[in-house]
Amino acid sequence: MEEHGVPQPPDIEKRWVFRTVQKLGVPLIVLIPLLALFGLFGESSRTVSASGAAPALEITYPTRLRYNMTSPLVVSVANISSQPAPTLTVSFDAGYIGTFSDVSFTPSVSEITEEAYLVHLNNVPAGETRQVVVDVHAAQYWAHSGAVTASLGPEQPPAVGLELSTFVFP
Amino acid sequence: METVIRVTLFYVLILLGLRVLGKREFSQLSPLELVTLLLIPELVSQALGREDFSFTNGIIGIATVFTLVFISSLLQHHSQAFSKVVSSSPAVLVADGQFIEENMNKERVGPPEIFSEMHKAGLFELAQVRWAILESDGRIAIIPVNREEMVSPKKVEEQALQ
Repeated sequence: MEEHGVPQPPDIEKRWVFRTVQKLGVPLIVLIPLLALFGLFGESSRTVSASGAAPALEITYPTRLRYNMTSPLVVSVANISSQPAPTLTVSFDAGYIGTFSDVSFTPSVSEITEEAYLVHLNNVPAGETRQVVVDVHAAQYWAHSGAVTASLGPEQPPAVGLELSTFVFP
Repeated sequence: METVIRVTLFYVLILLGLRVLGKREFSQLSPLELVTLLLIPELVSQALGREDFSFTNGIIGIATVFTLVFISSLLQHHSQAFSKVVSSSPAVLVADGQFIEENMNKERVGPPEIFSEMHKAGLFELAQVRWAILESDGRIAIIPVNREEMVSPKKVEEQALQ
């Protein structure tokens, strides 16, 4: 530009000056990707366990999901007694499961009541562990909680239980 | 986290790509404005259409773009080196009534385009042009030899009434 005689703009002192709306708004905007980089808005899961006199329960479940994401809920039930168990029943709170869509159980659900989805695991030898995998698809926003319990049969009271809580981002 | 990284990578790639293509492809937008306008509809449409991405993911993507644009504009203002990387320098296409052919070839601007801008500025001969400068945003600025040479609609009307 200079070689053709075009006048160049004079320089000014460069300073860091921000308007009030930028001082307030920019940190908020920058915070979102920063929190995302640290995984705050991402999928996360947790493993909890409990054991009673008979079955021991361990559950890995999603604590944070985004809308339309699918995640597995893995329940491991162990027969920790010295006797084989004719039936171990895992009960899933219907209110909690109902907040998800396209729910599939492996093995399949044995019984559905108003309060729960029941999966019966038959003939579990002493010391053995069985798994129930539930694939859930986040369909409703915000926090959802419910309990998963294990008992020594469909008519038996829960021997052990765990509370689950999942947050679904819109 | 993956969204932030992907958006950042695409932002940088698109910015560099537009920078490599040259000024003529920018139309009336700066590179930063163009890359923002290119990315935001894509991010929002996926969140709106509920195909693969959640609303949260769309918000994260948009906030990432805004953050990158703000940081880029800050760096562009305070760092000459960064400014040169992001936006190219203006190029002189005509000086003192003469085509600067090297720059015209570099920027892929032909005489008809320059004359078109001259006509808009009220000029009709190359001799009337002091400078024709291709600015960073792709526009051609015409500086006449003498401002009196510029013909405005008001001047045409006055001359017609005389």
